[in-house]
Amino acid sequence: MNAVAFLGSLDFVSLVLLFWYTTLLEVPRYLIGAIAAGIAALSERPRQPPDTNLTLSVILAGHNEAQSLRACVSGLAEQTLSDRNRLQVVVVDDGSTDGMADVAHDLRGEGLVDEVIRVRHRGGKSAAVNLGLGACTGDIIVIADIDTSFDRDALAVMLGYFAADPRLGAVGGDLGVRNECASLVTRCQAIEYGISVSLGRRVADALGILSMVSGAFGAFRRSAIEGVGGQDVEVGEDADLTMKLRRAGWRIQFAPEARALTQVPETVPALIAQRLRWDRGIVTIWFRKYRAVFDPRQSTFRAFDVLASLDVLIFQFLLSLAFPVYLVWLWWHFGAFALTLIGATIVGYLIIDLVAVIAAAAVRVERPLSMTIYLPLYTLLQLLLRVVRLIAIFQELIFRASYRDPYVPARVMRRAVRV
Amino acid sequence: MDTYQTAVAHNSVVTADTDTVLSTPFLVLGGTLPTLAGISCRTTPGSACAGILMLGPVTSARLANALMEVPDPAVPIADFAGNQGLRRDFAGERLDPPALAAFRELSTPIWRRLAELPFRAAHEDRAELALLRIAYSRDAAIEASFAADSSLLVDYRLLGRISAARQRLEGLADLDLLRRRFFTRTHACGQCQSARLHAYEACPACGSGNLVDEPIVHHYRCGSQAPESRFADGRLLVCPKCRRELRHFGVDYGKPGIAVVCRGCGAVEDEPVANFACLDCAAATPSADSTPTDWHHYELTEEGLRALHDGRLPRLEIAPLLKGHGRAFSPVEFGLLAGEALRVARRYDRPFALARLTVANIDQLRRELGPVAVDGAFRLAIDTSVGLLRDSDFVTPDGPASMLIGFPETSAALAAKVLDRVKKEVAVVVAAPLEIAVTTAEGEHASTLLDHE
Repeated sequence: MNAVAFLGSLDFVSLVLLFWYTTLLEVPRYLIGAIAAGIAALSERPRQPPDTNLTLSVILAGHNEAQSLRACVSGLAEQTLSDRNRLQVVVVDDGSTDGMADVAHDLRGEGLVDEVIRVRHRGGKSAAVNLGLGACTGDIIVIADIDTSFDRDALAVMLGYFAADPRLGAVGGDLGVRNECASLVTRCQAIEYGISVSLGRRVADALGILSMVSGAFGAFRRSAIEGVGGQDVEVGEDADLTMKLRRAGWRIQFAPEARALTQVPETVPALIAQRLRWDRGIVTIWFRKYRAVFDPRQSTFRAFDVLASLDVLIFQFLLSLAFPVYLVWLWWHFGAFALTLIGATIVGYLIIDLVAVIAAAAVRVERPLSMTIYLPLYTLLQLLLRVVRLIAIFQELIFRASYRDPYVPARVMRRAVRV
Repeated sequence: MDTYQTAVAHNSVVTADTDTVLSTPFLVLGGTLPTLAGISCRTTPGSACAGILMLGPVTSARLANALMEVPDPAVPIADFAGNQGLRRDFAGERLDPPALAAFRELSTPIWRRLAELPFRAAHEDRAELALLRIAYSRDAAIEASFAADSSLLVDYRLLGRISAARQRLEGLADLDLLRRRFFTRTHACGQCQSARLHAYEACPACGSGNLVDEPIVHHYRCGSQAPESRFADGRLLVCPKCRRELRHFGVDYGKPGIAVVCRGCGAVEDEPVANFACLDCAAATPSADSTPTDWHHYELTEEGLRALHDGRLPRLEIAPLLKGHGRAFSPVEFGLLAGEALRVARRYDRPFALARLTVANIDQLRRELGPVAVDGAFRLAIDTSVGLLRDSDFVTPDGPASMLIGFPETSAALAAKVLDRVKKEVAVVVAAPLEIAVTTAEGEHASTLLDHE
């Protein structure tokens, strides 16, 4: 009660000074997001079939995905594309040992898959996608994870974006969680995807700073992806490809109406392992590989690329690094009372998350509002993931840990170009 | 030397001695006698001929009649008039020396085999034995083949389109004289019995062939499950029950199977039925109502060859065997005779016995010894049995392997003694172990056997 009375006695400036980490770094981020989300909601595009002759190729590259392949391909067979928008499905078996190639050949026999390519030794996702690219005949290339499934009109919606804008190089699809009922962790991730992907990428798109077309579901103009040489060997190969396309001058957009669902980790350890890999990519992609976007002397310098990189570096990189500094600062000035202030900070985060969930609902993101009951757990999990991100950043900055990540085979990563 | 020995002899010297060949007559059908040198012909079928030459249009009935009249119905046949569907061994455009030489060369082995086994047949067995003889003389199986212009859809080229060929062949196979080898199964129109049918999948409800396979869509949320067309709303899928849009396969909805939907009546079925449309009368027949017919190839068996040697079929029926015996009567006549004998017996208190004599193990012996061997034994047993009866006794067939015997002025005990003697005599004369069962009855009890009869 003393703590509440103390906080209640503070004026606005004192509160800002006390919770500087939140008020100076977090609140502006959400404020900008809320404004952008409002703009996005006003400029919502109606779902309508595209009037275009563009054709599509879908690359499904994976390693040991035999169990998921049929469901994924069956979903593609349900797409509402017209006969003019011929769909080609290319499956690349990246050295699987679980019979994935057999499943793929069965599907080809059923007429659901057009091309099956198999390599005996795993080469990693990037190499597999690049192999599949050679077999693609479509004007638009969709790259998707095999554990992803699609809304019936997802591909048609994406085609509409490409048909409307010839300068568009890539379109990111909206992603939700298919296994949200599997555990508390997956429910929290359902909220997270609603806020970070469905809402966050709308905001980034509205601001013109979208820097990520997810490898789980993204579409690329064939000439664009071929022009930048396909994917590079990276742990965050999807972010890398998006940035390459931005640097090459292609426009990037987010298609919230093109919705897909994906499998997410069902346990905390699995979630941590995934996020360590993703967060190392922040360092390798935006801090190392594309720091040149800040160089105004380069011919490819663009303000929006700078903003896109700043968005990632400030709100994901610096914010994470500042968090332990804030904790130390609190302890230094307030001693044991810092615990009370940390608790107040967490409550503040909970309120911010609630606002984000409401904002997401305002732009018709399906899931988060119905899962509000899990919001406290989500807020705590986000704190844990901040710590994970911090560890990942340090691992990458000091040890270059992404180059030892098993996501890419070691024999490949040893030879990969280091940045 | 019979006809074939002559023909073979002539044929063997055909290139060296044309005069000899001239003496071998051919039966000419459907044309005038040829003026070709080196060939002897006539147009009347009553006497022996070495072969048949069809020089003009010939109907199947005319050929059948001719084959009934010639001594050997298995003679080789040459067709020089393009007659369709008739039995023929050789076909040529016109009768000239090269064609005749080719026909003779083709006929030589036939003549040789015909000469090895002269044809003889009881009148009632002639048609069946002719089939066996054709297979034997051509040294070939009677092969079934598809015939699109036949309403039966299948015919036997070796035999031509003779009426009831299949029934006769089946009868011979039932007697183990031919060995079956399955060829195909045809179905007959329920209206005109033609086997020229077009099979199509039909709606079980209305019979329409306007069917389409459609995935069944299951809307998980409300439990609605129906063919996909019921959900289709343009490019969208909208649940007909709750009007919600189905957006995500595997999450909103699934497709648990395929249904057959009739575009005619809208019925949804798991499987269509098979219907037949008749190409001749256009009637539609459900497959369940069509008459199936199994067609076989047939090969001559050793039993068939023995039947040819014997000149009769092993019918294993007592009725034909009793014909010709002075004491044998038809069942009706037997009934009148027995009734009269019973009336006399009652009125004058005279003895009268009736007996039934049955060969009880005929089917078992047929399986063990073969139909021809059993036929011989059966025939001998019947002849022996009837031969031992008195002139006043009278007999009639009573089923395939039993007969009724009337014993006027004879008690049942005496009749039993007579039949005991018959059994002993049959056991001595007939090598096969026939089991003869005897039932006797006297006076009023005799009528029970008659009633049975």
